[in-house]
Order: sequence, then structure tokens, then C-alpha cells
Amino acid sequence: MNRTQPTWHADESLLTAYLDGRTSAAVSASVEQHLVRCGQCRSGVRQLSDPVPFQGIWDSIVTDISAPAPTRLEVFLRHLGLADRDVVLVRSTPAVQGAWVLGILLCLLFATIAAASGAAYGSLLFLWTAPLVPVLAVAMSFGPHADPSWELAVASPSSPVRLILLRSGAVIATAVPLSALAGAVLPGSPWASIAWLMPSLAGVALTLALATWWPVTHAGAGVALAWTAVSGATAADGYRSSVGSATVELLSADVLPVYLVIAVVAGAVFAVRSDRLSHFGEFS
Amino acid sequence: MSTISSTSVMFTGVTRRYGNSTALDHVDLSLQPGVTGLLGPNGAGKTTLLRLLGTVLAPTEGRCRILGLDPGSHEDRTEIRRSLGYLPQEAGYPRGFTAFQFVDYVAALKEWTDRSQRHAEVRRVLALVGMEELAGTKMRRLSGGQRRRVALAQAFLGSPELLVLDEPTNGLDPEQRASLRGVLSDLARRATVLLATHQTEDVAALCERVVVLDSGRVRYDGPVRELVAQAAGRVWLADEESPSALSSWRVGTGRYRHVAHEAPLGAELAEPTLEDAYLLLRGGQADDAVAGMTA
Repeated sequence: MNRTQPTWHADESLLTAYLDGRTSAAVSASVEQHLVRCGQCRSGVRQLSDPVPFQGIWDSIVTDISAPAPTRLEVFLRHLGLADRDVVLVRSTPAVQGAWVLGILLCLLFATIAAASGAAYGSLLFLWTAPLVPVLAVAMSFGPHADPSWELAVASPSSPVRLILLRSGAVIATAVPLSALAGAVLPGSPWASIAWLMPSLAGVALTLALATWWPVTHAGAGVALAWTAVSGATAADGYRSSVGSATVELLSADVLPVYLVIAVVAGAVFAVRSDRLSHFGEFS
Repeated sequence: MSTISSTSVMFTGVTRRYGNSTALDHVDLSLQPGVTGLLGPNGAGKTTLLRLLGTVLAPTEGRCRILGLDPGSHEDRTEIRRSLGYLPQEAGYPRGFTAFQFVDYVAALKEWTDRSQRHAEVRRVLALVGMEELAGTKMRRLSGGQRRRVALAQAFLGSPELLVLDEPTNGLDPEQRASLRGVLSDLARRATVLLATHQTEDVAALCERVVVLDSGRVRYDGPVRELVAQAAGRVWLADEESPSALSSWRVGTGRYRHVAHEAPLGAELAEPTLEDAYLLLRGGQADDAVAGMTA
């Protein structure tokens, strides 16, 4: 290849624009062709190019290759479209680890026992248990009793409401499919295995709303007791008339809107009072 | 961040009660950039004071200004938390987390959204406390001192303007403590650091100023050297024990060191340390001697 001496030189402003990526494709190609042939302009490029970005690129490579491999949960949450920071916050949810899994297993166990004990009683047992699982899971997902690093979370600028909703969402997202699966193995009405979601939704919303007054464990326990009382009383009524009607009564088309109203009202109360959650004093 | 005057923290008549018991009783305190030591016996109110500074607790009475902002307002509190590094006494960690995951979690709480930048910051603070080699180790497998260093690392995230540290040197060996002092004195060139501790030697080595709390009240607030000077002429070395001394113990040479208002028999004067001065402050009549110095 015959390399002729260049007849022109790229001035500093052109080289700077090229290095910053501000030149058009045609001009960039022309500058590159020129640099191949011109030693003087190549040394000009060396002087102009800033070593700092290269250091930055190298640092980010080191950071990327030394970062811990994401867990299966993290990969799954990213697939769901959750932002990276939210994935890290959800991963820390106490109830997603350990105690929560135990709760779900207990629910499945109840459902199995229920299925073995006969359709009528079985459905009632399931109906009593299934809505409680998400309620108790939410009660175990935040607060000083459940989260060993809660004080750090409170002292951070992160919105506690966002953290609580993220965590509650995470536990509900795990609870609902598993409880639904347990419901599906029950003999009897397939309606019951889906309709229990309504009292469950109301229970979770009520727990969050009450947590703006009381510690969330107390709120969860209160809701659980109330649900036990309601389902117990309805079951007693059912005994007097015909066994099994309690399930139908608690999930009848007349009653389901009541759960919806409770959920909406409790959700509104939580939204209005949520800034109360940002003060540790309210929790301790 | 809004205006930041040279006074980073201003507490006026701050009281905190838990039911019938008073943990802090009309405390006045102002803090400027630099390291201030906070000394006091167990139950003196140190942790309550630190929780108030960490914005995790509200005062029952009194006025608090932190970094020129009001922690009672929701917006100001969030703004304070953006400039705060906080190490609580019990900094627990989510179960199953590695050192890296724990600090990464706190960085996510501190609004580091870009993963690459967040990870680089996590590596930086872990290196500051000498824990970069153990970043991938599960927290439960680390020793108490190592866990404390990781907990401390999270407080350094983002080089905060205000560092509130409860017993940061607990469980650290002498070499680690010396290294931590280096890190803290570097940070204190621009940041305000309040360090609660039982280790008077940390305060003597690191702080220009010391605050002594007792039963929820400020007993001393001033330069370390002035508190030490209070003990001049009241620390003695003798061959025998002295029952009248406020405090006495046998030192390595086999002699007895006494902190006492009057010379024990056959005793010679010794150079006082901050520990001697603190014991003197805590002991009976010594309280009157320094009453005039209380802030």
C-alpha cells in the first residue's frame, strides 16, 4: 500500500469533537483514515484523550466481574420487570426467607388435612386458613420485631411506605398462587378456592391501615382474631342449619362486596396516614 | 441540601421519656464538624441521644435542628437522612446475607439506583474497613468484630456529612481500632462525627471534644484536655491499696493506681488520663468540682 504524506492536519477542535463522538459518521471515517496515515495527528489524539474515562471503564469492569452472582429470586424478580434497586429491597424481606415459607407449608398442610377430612369441614378449614396466610405474612414482613436491620431502614431516606408496599406485594405474590394451588386440591366447590381472595385482600388492607396506629404484629393479630371470630360464628350458624353452608355464606355474592368495601376504605386510610410509618417512635 | 452553617446539630432542652422513665432530661447540645466523643455509663441516655440524631426517634419535648433542618417535618427528615451515616447499637442484618449483600441493601435504601455505581461504592466502603476480602462471606460466619466493621462500612456510604456511631469499636482488635481512627479522622475533616463509646482511649486518641452523659443529663461538655486537667493532682501511684480512694486498681508493675481527692499514704502523683478524669467525674464529690463546666 502506497502511503503518501498527508497534505493537511486535523486541528484540536476537530480531534476533540471526534474523541467526544460529536462528529458525523462521514467526518469520523475521514478522521480515522487520516489518523492511520498521520503520526503527528495520532500524537495529538494521545495528548487530547483523557485517561480518566478509561480508568472509569476499567473500574466498572472490575465492579461487574467482582459483583456477586444474582440469586434465582433476583433473576426471577428482574424478569418480572422490577427495577434493580427494588429487587435488592424485596430480597431483604424477612418473610420471604424462612418463617414465611413455613407459613405457606402450614397452609398446604391444613389444606391436605382438610381434603382428607371430608368436603364440608375441609372447605371451612381452608376458608379460615387461606386468607390468614397473606395477613400474617404482611405482619411478618416489616417492623422492628421482624426485620433485624429495621432501624437502618428507618434512618434511610427511602420511603418506608414504598418499602412496606414492595415487601407486602412480594409476600402476597408468593402467598396467593400457593394458597390457590392448595385450594385447587380441595374437593367441593371450585368457587371457594378462588373467592377466598376477597377476604384475604380486605385482611391485608386492614392490617396495613391498622399498622399506622399499632405495631404491625398487633394489627395482623387483631385482623386474624376478627376473621377467626367471623368464620367461627358463621360455622356455628351453619351447624344449626346444615353443615357446610358457612362456606357458602362467607363467600356468597351478597357478602363479597363487603370485603371489597373494607379493602377500599382500609386502603384509603393507609394512604392518608402512611407518613406515620416513617417515624421509628410510632413503631417501637 | 439547604444551607449548612458551621453548627451541624443544635439540640435545645431536649427531653425523651419512655412511659414514666426519663431517658434524656433537658439536654442542650451543639455539634460542629470534627469528632465528638460521647461517654457515659450504661443507661445514661447515650443510645437515646443517638437515636434522636439518627432521626429514628422523636423527642418528647425540646427543639432539634440537624444540618439546619427540622427532623419533625417529613420533608426535612428525608433530607437529613440523605446526609446521614448511622450505626445503631444493634445493627442486625437480613438472614442469609453476605457482607456485600448487606451493605448493598443499605446502599439501595440510601437511594443508590445505578447498580454499577452502587456496587463500586459498596466495594469502596468495605475496603475502608478492611473487609473487601471477606465481601462474599455470609454475615453469620463472620466474627463479632468483622460484623461490626461491615455494619460500620454501611455508615460510610456516600461519605455523609453527619456520622452518628454507637459503639463503633466494639469487638475490634487494637490494630483495627487504630485503622478505624485513621478513617474517622479523615472523614471528620468535613463531616460531623458523634461517637458514643465506653472506650475512653478512643475518645482520648480521636476527639477534641467530649460530652459526658449521666442519668439523662449532660455532666460535662468541653475539650478533652480540660476534662483531663480536672484530674491533675488527683491521680496517685502507691504500694498499698487505699480504701478512701474513689477508684483504685493494681497496675502491671504491681503498684496501685488511685483516683482520689487526697493523697493515699506514701503515694506519688501520676499523670492523669481521660479515664482517670472520667472516673473522677463519675465519683461522688467529683461532681461538684466540675459542675461549673457543665454546658
